[in-house]
Amino acid sequence: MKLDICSVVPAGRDATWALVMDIPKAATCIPGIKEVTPDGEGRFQATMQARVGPMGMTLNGTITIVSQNAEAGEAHFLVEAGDKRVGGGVKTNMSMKVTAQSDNETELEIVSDTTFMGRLGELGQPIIRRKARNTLEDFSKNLSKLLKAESE
Amino acid sequence: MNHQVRLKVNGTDHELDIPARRLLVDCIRYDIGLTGTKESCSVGVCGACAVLVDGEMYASCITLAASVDGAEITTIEGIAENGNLHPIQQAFIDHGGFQCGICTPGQVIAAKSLLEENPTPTEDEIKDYMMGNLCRCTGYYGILNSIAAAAKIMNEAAGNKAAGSGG
Amino acid sequence: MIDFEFHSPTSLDEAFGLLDQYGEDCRIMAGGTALVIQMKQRLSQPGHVIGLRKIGSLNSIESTPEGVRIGALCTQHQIISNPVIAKELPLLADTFRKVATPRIRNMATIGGGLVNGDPSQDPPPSLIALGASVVLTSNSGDRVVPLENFFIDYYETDVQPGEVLTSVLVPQAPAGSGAVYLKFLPRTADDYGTVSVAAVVSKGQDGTCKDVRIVLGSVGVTAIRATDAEDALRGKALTDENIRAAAALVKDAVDPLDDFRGSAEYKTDMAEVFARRAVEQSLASIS
Repeated sequence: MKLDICSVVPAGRDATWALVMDIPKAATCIPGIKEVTPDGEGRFQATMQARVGPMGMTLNGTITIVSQNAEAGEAHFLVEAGDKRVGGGVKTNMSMKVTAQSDNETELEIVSDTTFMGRLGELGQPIIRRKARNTLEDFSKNLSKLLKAESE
Repeated sequence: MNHQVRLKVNGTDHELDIPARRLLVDCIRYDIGLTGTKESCSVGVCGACAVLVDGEMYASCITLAASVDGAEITTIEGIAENGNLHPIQQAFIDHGGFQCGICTPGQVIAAKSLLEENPTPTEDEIKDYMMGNLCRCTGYYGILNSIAAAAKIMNEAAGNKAAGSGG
Repeated sequence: MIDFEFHSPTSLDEAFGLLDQYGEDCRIMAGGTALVIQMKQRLSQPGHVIGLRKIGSLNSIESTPEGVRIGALCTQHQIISNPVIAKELPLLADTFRKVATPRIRNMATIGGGLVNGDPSQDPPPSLIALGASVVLTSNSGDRVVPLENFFIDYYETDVQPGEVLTSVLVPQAPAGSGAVYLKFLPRTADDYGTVSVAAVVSKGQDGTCKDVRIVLGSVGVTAIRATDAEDALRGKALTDENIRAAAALVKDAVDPLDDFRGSAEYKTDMAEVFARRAVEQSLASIS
């Protein structure tokens, strides 16, 4: 499942880069994220809850910074997460790129590719697919809000 | 949490004290001991778990036993007539309606349900009704032939019109 | 499945009491075909399940001046084989006939399916195209909601805490109208559609489109009424050209997901194709 989003956030390139690379802080912009704890160099354990109507999934997993290039403003992440009760999980390769538009506007582009693994069940996969797009959009919106609040 | 469940299975009354989460297929197989009914897909799609609940064909793998408290259940063990195989069962033997047998109890229950609703189904009507019963072995023609043959025999016995005149 | 307590109220009042007592920790079960699968997969883990099967007042079908009133616990099979439905709402019988397998149709209820809120299920497009509304009953009485406003999001409906959907009211299709439900099933016959469309078309005396309703399933987070397409056809001559032009607008109304039933792009294209066919076939069925 490929998803990408491109938005303009109200902050300078360096401030934007600093925030997206601060995983525990940036993760607070993802709806449903419960805990993010460091687990070695460039690795974090995270828990995320996805609710759809009366149903819910709890995804536990690892976020790994695969590579980062501050000068180019590009970073690659690997997210591997699963729900123990439902079974199965997801593996997402994500790239982020920040490009300065002006002194206090930065274009943020996120490109992701998700593979579904194991038995997620008849409903599990559509739930994640539905939620993933909303989640990416909300992440971008919340990031903008956070950057704006920080610059004030 | 346990729930009191009364079921009449193949004519015999049972009073059970079982967890609320007990599925009807597990109740039939383990609490009551009738293992003819099979579980295959677990999501109600394949038809192997078909039983009759108050005369209607249900998927017992997605039915909570507690939710059918008081019902009359018919399983494959209950369709023989006076100690003789039901005409549908005999037809399955005579016309190659099974190989490994795992889907067969569900196929027979479905066929019985079909012929009760429509004693003279056309070939298309048989296919349409039986579409919810999957088989990995026979390629389905043996099953269709068995049901058509059973319908003919049952109708002759009951003095009905010839099969194929619609239902 | 995680352990839970099962309740079998024999009256609506008893059910309301249980809903009040257990709040968010309970789920209501009608036929159970959707709920039990969700619980088996642990996507839903209520501490209490309230089964409605023993409440006797919810499974009748009757013709009223406002339309046909269908009790929420009527099974799909009951609806398919009911003479009132066959006479006054044949589109409904046709639609329910296309659901899943005979087992599911014996177990699943009209009310349970609606409250489930799954946009890929067959009944909502036809019910919305017929202008159906649902009656939500609670301790405070009845609340009537047009079905087209009832679905909010994927698996989310307008049912409020303490409410039970007790009946569905379906007006008869207008005189001089045709109605059809098309389900595009490139895969197995018991599956959800890749795309599905319900259309009800009324022809005026002058041969123009007096009214039209086009509702699609499986192409969004809820069933979708293609109002722009409808507006483009209403009042116009029912020519091939006008029907095609209206169907083309359906593409902007839908928002499908990529999955094993088709890519988002393919489903969007098929939404247009099947909307056009549904309107054409509805027209053709006007006697």
